[in-house]
Amino acid sequence: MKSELIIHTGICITDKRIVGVTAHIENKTMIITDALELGRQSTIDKDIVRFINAYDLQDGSFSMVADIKTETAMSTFDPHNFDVKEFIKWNLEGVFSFAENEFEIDACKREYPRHHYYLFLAAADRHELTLLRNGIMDSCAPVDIIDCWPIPVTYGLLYRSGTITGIVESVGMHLWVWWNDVCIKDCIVRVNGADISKALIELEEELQGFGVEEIQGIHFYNTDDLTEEQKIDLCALEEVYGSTDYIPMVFLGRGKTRCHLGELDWDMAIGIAARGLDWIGHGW
Amino acid sequence: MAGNRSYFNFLPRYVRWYVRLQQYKWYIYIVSIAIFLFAIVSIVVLIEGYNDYKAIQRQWLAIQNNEDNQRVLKEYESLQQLIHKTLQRKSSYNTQYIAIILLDGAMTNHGNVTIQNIIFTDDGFSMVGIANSDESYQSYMQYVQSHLIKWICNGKQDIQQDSGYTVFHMDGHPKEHEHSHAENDRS
Repeated sequence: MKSELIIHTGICITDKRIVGVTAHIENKTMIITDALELGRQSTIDKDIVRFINAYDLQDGSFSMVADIKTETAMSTFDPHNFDVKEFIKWNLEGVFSFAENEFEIDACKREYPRHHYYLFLAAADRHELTLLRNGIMDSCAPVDIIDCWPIPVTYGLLYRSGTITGIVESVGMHLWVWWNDVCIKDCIVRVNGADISKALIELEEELQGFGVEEIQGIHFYNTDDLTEEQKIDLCALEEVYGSTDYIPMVFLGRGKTRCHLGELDWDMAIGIAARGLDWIGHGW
Repeated sequence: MAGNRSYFNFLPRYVRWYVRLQQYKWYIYIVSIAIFLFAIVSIVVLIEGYNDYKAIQRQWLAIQNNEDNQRVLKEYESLQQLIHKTLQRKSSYNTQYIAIILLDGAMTNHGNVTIQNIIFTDDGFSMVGIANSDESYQSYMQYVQSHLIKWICNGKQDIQQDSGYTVFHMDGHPKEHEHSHAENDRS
């Protein structure tokens, strides 16, 4: 008997455009069947409605990630009588740079090594998040997940622990080091080989504290506007640390013509779709 | 491992519910209208039922207040009491059996004892008879007492000096113990 396919659409919203990919899983391979990109014209809520109306999704549900200002933090905790809400209420003073009542927090827990518990916190800008939710409500899109920036970029990778993501931002190179689908440390450095190399060594030391001996791979995004010298530095670093492979995936239909692996928003959309398909957490 | 892990999700429950409600809003409207119509029909049926009840109640009160009805009720009640008493009596002792014993006793005395009157009451019986001689009276009393073991029979004779006949009167009632037994059995 042929089982019914679970279809999921991952959407990534950046300042420039909204991209979405529709995918399902067959034989441990992610089949990307459809893709759409739409330029940003207005606020997130209005653009989401426009995108959902244009996408004409027939089946399945959505997951989203948006380029909203997000900060992460990590803390240890004792699980005995531990309450996340109480912890957040009393222990976050000065942790995030947001003004009071201008951010929302979500948390998830990890254990490493045995009986040592870590609480990972993500704070996102409340105003942008509210606009995103308003857009979802206005479009009545069946959304399952709003993930925080830029975690989904790792979901499309085969080995996610020990991977480093570098995104060129206006202030410099923002580096995140991933372990078990959470960021254990992030930093912003100037975009040059020496500074990035130094930061990578520090991030590798952080990884070793979580049982990962060395960096498994590195991915740099938004490098188009960099100078040739900076690009050469980044290429050199990628050669040193290697790059992590993507999960097995096949592009079909519009997915084949529109999706571009290696571009930040497409990788994000693929990653969030993989999470929506319950790919993440099932041994991949 | 999936169950042990958790992931960030900034989608609050209210957004999920709002979207779900919007998706199924037409079903919700249809079900709401159906429930509303059902409620209206139920209320109408209830009101009609209450009106019927009030009409029947008025009719019942009119019958209750009717003189003919009250007379019939009283007659019925007295009839019921009579039936009840008769049934009680029948069940307390068997009058036919006693009558047969009394008559049989007279017959076994070869015409020496004649029964003039037998009256059955709630408590027992009383009889008046004539015996040819004191021996016949004694023999008759002995016969009756020996056959009505559970009864106490008291006789009183009045000997006619001129003719030698004995007019006797006999009362019988169940023994106290047997009587209460019978009552207990009935209850």
